[in-house]
Amino acid sequence: MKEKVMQVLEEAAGLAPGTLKPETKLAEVPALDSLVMVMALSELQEQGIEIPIDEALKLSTVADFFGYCKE
Amino acid sequence: MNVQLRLVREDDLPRIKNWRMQPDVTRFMNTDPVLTDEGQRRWYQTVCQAADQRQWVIVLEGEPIGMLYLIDIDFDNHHCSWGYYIAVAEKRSLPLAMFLEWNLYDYVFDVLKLHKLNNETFVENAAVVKLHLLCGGHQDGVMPQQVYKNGRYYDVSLGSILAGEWAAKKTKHKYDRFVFEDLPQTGEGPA
Repeated sequence: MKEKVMQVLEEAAGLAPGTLKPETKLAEVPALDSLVMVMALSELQEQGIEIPIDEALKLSTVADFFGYCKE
Repeated sequence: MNVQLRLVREDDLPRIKNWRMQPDVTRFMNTDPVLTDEGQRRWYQTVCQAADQRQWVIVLEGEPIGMLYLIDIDFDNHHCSWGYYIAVAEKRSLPLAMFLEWNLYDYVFDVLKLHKLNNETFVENAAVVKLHLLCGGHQDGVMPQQVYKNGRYYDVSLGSILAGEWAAKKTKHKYDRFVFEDLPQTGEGPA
C-alpha cells in the first residue's frame, strides 16, 4: 500500500516513478500543488485509503500518508 | 499562515495584468485576454466605483501572490459569486487553497450577511470542482457548452454553499483566519 501511495502521488503530480521518497517534504515539491493534492486524495479514496480533509491539511511528508494505509 | 486580503490598488495593475495573462491562470477562465495598461486603468476605475464586487490581492507572508474576488453581489437576493487564482505557482498549497475558501465563506456570510455563495467552474477543471466539494459546497448542475474559447465550447459546473450549510460545517474545521480589507462604508450593503 505504501508503494501505491507513492505511485498515486507521482502520477497525480506528473513525476517520474521513484522521484518521491518517504522522507520527501510535500512543501518542497512544487508539483504537489493544491489541485494535484485534491486529485491525489480523491484517487487514494477510490483505492480505499481515506484521509479526512482536516487531517490531509496537516500532512507534511510522503510518509505521513502511510498511517492511513490498511496493511 | 499569515494572509491578508488587500483591496486592489492602482499600483497593483501591472502585476495583475501579467498574472491575468499567464497561461496557467487563464487556462480555465472564461477569457484569455490580451490586456493593456489603459484597459487595466479603466478596469480599476470600474472596480473602485462598483458596489457589486470586491477585488482583493492575496498577500501571503507579505508577498502578493494572486487575486480573490466577489462578483455579482446582489444585496436584494442575498447572493454573490466568486473566484480566485494563485499566480505564483510555488505558493499553491492545499492548506492555502482551503483556508482561502473557508475564510471567504466567513466574509460572505458573517460580514456581508449574504445567504448564498455561487461558483462557476469549467468541468474540465475537475480538481477545483472537487475542492469546492471538499470545502463544504455542493454542485448544483452543469451548463453544457457554456463558454466558447479558442475554437471550442466548455461545459461549466455550477456550485454553491448556503449560509446555514457553512454554519453547520465550520465548527468542524480548524483553519487560520485571514484579514479582509473592506470598502469604506458607502451605505451600500446588507440591510
